[in-house]
Amino acid sequence: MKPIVFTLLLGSVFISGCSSMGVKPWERDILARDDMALESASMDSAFDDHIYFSKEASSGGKGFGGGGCGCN
Amino acid sequence: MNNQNRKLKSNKDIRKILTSATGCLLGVTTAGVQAESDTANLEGEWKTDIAVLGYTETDRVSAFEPAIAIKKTFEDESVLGFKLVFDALTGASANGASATGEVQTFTRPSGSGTYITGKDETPLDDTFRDTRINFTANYEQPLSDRLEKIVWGANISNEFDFTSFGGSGTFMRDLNQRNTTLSAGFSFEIDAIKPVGGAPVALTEMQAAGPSTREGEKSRNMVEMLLGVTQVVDRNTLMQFNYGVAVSNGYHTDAYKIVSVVDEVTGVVAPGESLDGKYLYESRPDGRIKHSLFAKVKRNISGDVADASYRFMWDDWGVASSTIDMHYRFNQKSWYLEPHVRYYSQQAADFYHTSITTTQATLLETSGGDLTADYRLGEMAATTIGLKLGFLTPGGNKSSIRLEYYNQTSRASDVYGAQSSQDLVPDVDAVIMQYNYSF
Repeated sequence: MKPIVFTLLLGSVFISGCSSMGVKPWERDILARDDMALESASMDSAFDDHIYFSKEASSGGKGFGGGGCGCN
Repeated sequence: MNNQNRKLKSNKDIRKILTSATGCLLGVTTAGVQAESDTANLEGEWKTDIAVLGYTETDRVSAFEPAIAIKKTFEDESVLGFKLVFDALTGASANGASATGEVQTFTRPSGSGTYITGKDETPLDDTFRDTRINFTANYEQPLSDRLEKIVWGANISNEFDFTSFGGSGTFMRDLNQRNTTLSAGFSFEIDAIKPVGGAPVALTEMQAAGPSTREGEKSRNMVEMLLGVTQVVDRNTLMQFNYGVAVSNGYHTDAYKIVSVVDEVTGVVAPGESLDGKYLYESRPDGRIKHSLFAKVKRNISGDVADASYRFMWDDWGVASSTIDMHYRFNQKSWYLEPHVRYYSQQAADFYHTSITTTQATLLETSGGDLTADYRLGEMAATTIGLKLGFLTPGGNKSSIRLEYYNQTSRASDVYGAQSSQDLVPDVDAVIMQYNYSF
């Protein structure tokens, strides 16, 4: 329970701080580039997630995966 | 000019043919694709990504994975995507038993044969062979005010001994002039596990080839929640924070893994009932709760892109891990070079033992408990270094190739007598190669 409360508190502090950050709509030229997308190489990420899921005890964190695997 | 037009037309024809072929492969009718591609001039066309991955471990597993994904953005900004992945795995996989100064004999998972491991060698089951097919579908549904959307996902995977299906829904809302995005997602997964020869009874001894008591099919289910914040910091910088929790229940044991039982003074494998040595089938808890905190920063630096992320994961098995992942993309006019470094370290699960003593085995056999010698649940550090080269083809399509080296270094948890002269958990080295093509 503690991590969830901590995360919620951290999240609310972060969001209130966020209102002073950011750009105007006409300043999004760089952020709109494909290579600036948060997931700019989805095939690579999906392959990597599958490899590391099957070779290590950890998985997830970034988003929902592409299905289960009997490898772990 | 005419030549250019002909070239463009020819590229469009190739795209149309490949898109139709992709549609057929994914179950979309050719007529449907054709009808959609006609309206696609007003909307977006189907975008296709093709990739092939080769993964090769030294003396162990090799995998070959082709994948194809198609995606289309519609006039109302909704996005529909499908992906198909095929896996072919062959090679040898560590069975969990420890290397010793003697030749060791093991029973194959089917129970109908044996395999032998030489002295001072890590026991590997060389019958490891599997194929996997995985299909996913995603739909991004914008909501009325265009500041909110829901991303739906569905997936199904099938292997020789494993079937999984699941779904997810993620709600996203933009705030602060679309500089902040909040997201909340839920997913579920249902797995059916059908081990070759049936699931062995946990914590019982591996017997010589022949009929033995086995259990039937097993199942497992999981639900996961993911909360996220994405923030535009300035014109060049993006940040992302996620918290995730996954709760799974059911069969988590690896039916093919065993644990060596050794004499606590000499470290020699104890005599078995029907095999030369004594090995117990592992047993994992029937539930797991995993938490993860994930942070990512992406920054444009004079036209290049730096991407760094960190994940901390912990669970109720005693595993805790840290992952640092960094990419730097050097952009040129029509090509780029992207070095990649990843470092991962994990603590062992509470019930991980490289091998156990005869006293511990007796206690587990009579009173039960959890036990594994699977090195993937032991103390481990792993490093990946790689390089990716991306370029535009003469037809203007994106293409890339990447080469990576992956190393796992593990530490044995328990070492008895003569075991100190053995490399009980040897390094695993792998090479990853991948080719991508988008059109």
